[in-house]
Amino acid sequence: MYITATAVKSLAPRAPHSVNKPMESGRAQPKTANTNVNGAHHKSLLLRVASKKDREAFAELFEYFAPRIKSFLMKGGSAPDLADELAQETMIAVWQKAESFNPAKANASTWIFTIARNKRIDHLRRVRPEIDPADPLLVEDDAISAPERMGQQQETEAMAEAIKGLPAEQADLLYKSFFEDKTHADIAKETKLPLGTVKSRIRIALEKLRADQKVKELWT
Amino acid sequence: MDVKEDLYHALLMEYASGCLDEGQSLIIAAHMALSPAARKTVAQYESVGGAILDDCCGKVAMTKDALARVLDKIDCGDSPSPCVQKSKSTMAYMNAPNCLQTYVESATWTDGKGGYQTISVRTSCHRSKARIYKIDPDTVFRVNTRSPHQLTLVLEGSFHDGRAVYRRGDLIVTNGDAVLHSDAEQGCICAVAQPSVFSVKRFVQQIFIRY
Repeated sequence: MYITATAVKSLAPRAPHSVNKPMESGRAQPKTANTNVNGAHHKSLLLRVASKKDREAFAELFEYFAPRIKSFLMKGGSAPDLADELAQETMIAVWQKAESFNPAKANASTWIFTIARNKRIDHLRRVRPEIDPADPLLVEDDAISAPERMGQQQETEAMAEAIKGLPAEQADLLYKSFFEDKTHADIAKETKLPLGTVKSRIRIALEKLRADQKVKELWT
Repeated sequence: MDVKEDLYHALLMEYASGCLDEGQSLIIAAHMALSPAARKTVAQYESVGGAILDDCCGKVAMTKDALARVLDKIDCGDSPSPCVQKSKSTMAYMNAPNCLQTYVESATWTDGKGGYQTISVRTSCHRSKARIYKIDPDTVFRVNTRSPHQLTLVLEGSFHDGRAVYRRGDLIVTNGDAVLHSDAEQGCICAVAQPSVFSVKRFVQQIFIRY
């Protein structure tokens, strides 16, 4: 049984960063054409940083991503000063690791998200084991197809649009998962929803993202 | 999609968002090393995070001199704290992915009671622990976990639960009682973790029962 959006609202006040309502002055509006341009542009900026250590390109990336990373870290509970510091560290890591950015595997915002996420984990003194890319036992990926390569830069835009189309209660759970550093069990406690409901709702949200025609084309 | 598959995807998503504890993350990472499909799924979930960061999470102004400070640090060759790479241990079982081998704290198998041997896995997080089990051939063992769920990753051999056969790289998420049967010839080696505060040692004494 699913609780209606109205009931959820009474149980769990909407997060201030709900997708369906622009809550913050700097929040990007859904302009697909512009964000498409952004995705390709950020990729080219990162590649310029990687190949030429281009400071202008880096400054542009900083201007775009650092405030978003700071917001991300503050939503995870970091104080503003700390979030600022960690956002700076994230951007230093972007500079230093730019050569390892592979546009065939991830788009710029996803790659930067993973760096910011790992900074947050490091700061919390948690450990997140990762696969060793040089592991001889690693089972190889299938070759990335040309359409898949082409799709990477469009992925963020299609995904963002699909997330905006989710019902508020599902989108909020995605936000809590990614930006408030909460396990599903923590979310269940906070929202007073049964854990199974939280997991189901997130699963349904992910299924809807998968079912979105644009995302589907990129994910399959 | 059944409940177990729900749990599986929830775990991959928690791994992608970075809020999964160390023991479970270790099993997920080892699973990803052996499963390109799992890697792809986690990458898809990370792209959800990237999309939200890019387009939906808003922005908070950085301090005025932040960029200048970052560029200064770059000029000074300042680097973030280096990741501490754990060295690969001398492990009794060498056919595990690197990420798992680096966590193993003993070089020899320890005999358990009732058809299995174990190697302990040391995590820095006290809330979640992991172990590697070598189950004798043709052994029936019962999972009776008190924690919300248990992750079992097959590293070698196979076992079945009456519905499906699980082989190297397969991850099984159980959230209640389950009866598993190891391969009649090879037995199986598997890595196990659960999000729990109670002792894995005590847990294994309770769950592995040889018939």
